[in-house]
Amino acid sequence: MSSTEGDIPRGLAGLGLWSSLALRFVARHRRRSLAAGLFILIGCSLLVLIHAIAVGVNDAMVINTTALHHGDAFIETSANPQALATRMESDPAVAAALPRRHLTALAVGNEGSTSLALYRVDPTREQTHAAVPRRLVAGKYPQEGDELLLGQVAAEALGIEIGDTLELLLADGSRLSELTLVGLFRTQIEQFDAHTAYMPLSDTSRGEGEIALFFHQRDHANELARLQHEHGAQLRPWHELRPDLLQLIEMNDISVALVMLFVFILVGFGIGNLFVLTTLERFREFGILKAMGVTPGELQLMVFLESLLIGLLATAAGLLLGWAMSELLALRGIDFSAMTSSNRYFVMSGMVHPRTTAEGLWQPGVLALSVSLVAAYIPARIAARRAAAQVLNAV
Amino acid sequence: MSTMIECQGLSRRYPDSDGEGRGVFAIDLQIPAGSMTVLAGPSGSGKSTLLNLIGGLERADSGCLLVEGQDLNALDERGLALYRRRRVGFVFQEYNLIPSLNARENIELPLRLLGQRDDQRVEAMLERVGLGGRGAAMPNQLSGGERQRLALARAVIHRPALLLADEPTAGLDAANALMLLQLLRELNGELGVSVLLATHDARLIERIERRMRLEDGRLARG
Repeated sequence: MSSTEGDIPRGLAGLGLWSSLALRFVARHRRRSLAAGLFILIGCSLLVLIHAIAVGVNDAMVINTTALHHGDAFIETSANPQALATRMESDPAVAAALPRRHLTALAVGNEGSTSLALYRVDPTREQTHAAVPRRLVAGKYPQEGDELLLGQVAAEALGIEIGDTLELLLADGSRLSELTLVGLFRTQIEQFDAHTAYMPLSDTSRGEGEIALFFHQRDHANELARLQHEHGAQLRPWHELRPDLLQLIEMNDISVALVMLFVFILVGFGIGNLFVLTTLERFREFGILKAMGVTPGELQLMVFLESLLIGLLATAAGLLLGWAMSELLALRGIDFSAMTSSNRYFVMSGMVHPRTTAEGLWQPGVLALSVSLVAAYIPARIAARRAAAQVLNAV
Repeated sequence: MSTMIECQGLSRRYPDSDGEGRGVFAIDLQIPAGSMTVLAGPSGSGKSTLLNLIGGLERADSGCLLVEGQDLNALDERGLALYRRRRVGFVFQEYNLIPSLNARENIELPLRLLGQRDDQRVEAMLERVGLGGRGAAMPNQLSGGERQRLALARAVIHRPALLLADEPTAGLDAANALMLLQLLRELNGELGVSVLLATHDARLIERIERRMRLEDGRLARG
């Protein structure tokens, strides 16, 4: 006995046949396809959004933390920091270079004394890029001469107010006298507010030279290496200076990955349940196909291709929807201020702008597709294993 | 005339509630190629079981079953599936059309499973069974008679060697039943397909010369 006409489509021809049949069945079983697709679509879009918000939270923490003092990268220099900062600012990758001189001082006030980290700064540049000028609670930012800006906690400890004068005893034994307190700031970081002071920088200022460097792009690893090479300066990226923040971001990433996994395990159960139920509904159809000579392997392939097709379309739509929702939220931002008012990583602002990354698209995409295929495996096996006569006689 | 089906001592038993067991027992028969044979008998006599065995939908417990000289017991699951695809056409009592495919797609499916596309043949077959112009209709839009003619068209479109029809006229009125029988006769004559028809419908039995009768799973002679 042999085939008299044609033969069984195999390889690409077989794949073409089963793909076209799968496509037809997906289109004709519209309600089932839409229900399964909707499950995947919602899960996938939520994951993209969750990931984008997590990236936005990380971004906000980095921006807030780097803006407070160190910048995206920090330089300690024995050279003139003003001259080096001016040279660096001419680089197109650099958004700002804030020159400073750092001194250690003891402040003596009406009610007590306290140690201070005194920074002599360029007021114009600081007010444009740094966080502290935006956290003034009284007075103004010092602009010239012997004007002083102090943390509110330090001022309270010293018992002085705006307009009072103050004397600072420096580490080298010299004194800065008749300094006028012109402003107070409060960052909510207790230690910082109790021991930090700012004065305008001049050519004759003493102290350790340093520069806080800000880049236009968040990803600036290449620029760091290049600037270091070009200017012969030691640039320390923020994650070296703030390992606590780096660790927090890594923990945040792990938490998000776990949330994504749990969400999709739940979605997977939902999809699997739906696929099993619809497979049971289609037993008669599968039985007829088997009676017509469709092999168990071919039937399994067809059910698998149907799931793949639904999974691909729903994942693509889910990615698009997730991206659109993230972009929409990013336009206005999400205000986390109420939850971050005492958080040192949100000194400047509690606004989070969700950001979609390549990773934030491919990870949910791969997860959604994998889960939908795994969820389709059991019904495909069930469909393939039942004998045609068993199915047809049962109807 | 060569032999299409040959059975010797063919048995398939299903346990039932009274412990007697149902199915078919020790069936010996020979059916010539190109013939049209009716398998008569009351409900539960084993007609469907015998058709399922010959069609490769079920396996025998014992005995020998040759179709065109091929021992079906020797075929594995895939072999049986390919045997059904290439050599057998089925018409069931419940029509068993694929509800999500339209009439044309139902008919062309056996051809596509064999890697063939022949739109002309499909259209000609639709005309042949009186469904010309109704190719786009879904099965649930067709009457009982139309569905059964569609099922018949699907069963023979790939020109199988053997057509197995299980109670094909159940639920059809006399006119539709006779129309179906006429079609079966014509296709048997034109395509040379061997037809084995299981029924307890006296309208059909009396019109087919070659008859066999099953009673309690055993073949009754005469």
